[in-house]
Amino acid sequence: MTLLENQDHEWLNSRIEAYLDGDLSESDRVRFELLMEAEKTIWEDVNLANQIVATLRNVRDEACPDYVLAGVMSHVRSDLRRSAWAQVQSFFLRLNAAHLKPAFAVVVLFLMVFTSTQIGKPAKESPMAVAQALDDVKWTLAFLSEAGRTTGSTVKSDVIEDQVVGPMSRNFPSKSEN
Amino acid sequence: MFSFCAHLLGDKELAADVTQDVFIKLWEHKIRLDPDRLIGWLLTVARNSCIDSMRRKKVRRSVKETDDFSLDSLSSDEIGPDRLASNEIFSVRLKRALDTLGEPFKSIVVLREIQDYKYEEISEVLNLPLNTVKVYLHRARKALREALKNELMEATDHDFA
Repeated sequence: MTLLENQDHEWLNSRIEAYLDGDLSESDRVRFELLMEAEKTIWEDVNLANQIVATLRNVRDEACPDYVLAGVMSHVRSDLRRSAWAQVQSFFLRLNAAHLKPAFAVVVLFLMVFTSTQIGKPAKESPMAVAQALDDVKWTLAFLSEAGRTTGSTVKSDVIEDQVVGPMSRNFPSKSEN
Repeated sequence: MFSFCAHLLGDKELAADVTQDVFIKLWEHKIRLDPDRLIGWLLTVARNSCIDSMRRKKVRRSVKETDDFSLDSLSSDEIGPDRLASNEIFSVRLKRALDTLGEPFKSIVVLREIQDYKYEEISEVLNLPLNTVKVYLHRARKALREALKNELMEATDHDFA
């Protein structure tokens, strides 16, 4: 049935894969091909081995179902939510830690004192705003004076006395009064 | 990676579950991972999960799944009905033979021949020396060849009977 010695047959059979992968040395490859020519069954085995490799390499990759990604993303989102909440909790737990309590109390006390000093305190006068207001008043009085001269009518002092002259003399006493 | 699990398990639903678990593990271990070794890590975890899954559920492959593998997986460049039919039968038999392989032979065949990973990558995933991977691949292919030869002989005997 076979022209080859058993040991040759075994040698060939154990080297078919290496032959197909090009892993045989040059001398082994030459020997392999000579023996293969003399033995039809080995030639068939080589063909079969070749067909196996070709068929396996033609197997397409399976597509991953969409729900796998959706499941992973859902886990990631809930994990992120959990970890964000845990960070907030751990921040407050750290604040509440025994060694930080006095420092926390001092900060709270300082904030309370500072707030109380700010409540009821009059706003600071802005020199620019005061100058602008004075300018406006002067222009108003000048306008009234000009209007009186032009029209021959006078603005009675009691009209502007309460609203303008009085508050001005109280807030901005003239130099002669000083 | 899903494809790797599907080939290893022979069950797409189970492969989807394992893939999901692996990516969740990846998320949970993200800080401790070296990005350069990510693929290796994923495949190692996937393979271990597949092995656990097979042990737990004792997967039994049905005829339908075997058919799915052959019909869905054949490349479209196989033209001609006779050729397609013979390829289909061959790939069904090959799938059956592949399922008889133990570990790590099956993983090596899937990673190298189906998914075209390099020997170095397979060596890292399976934690085996490079030469061992090559030797195991040759052994696995030889085992597939022997299994297919036996099947072909049985089929021939059956046809003559």
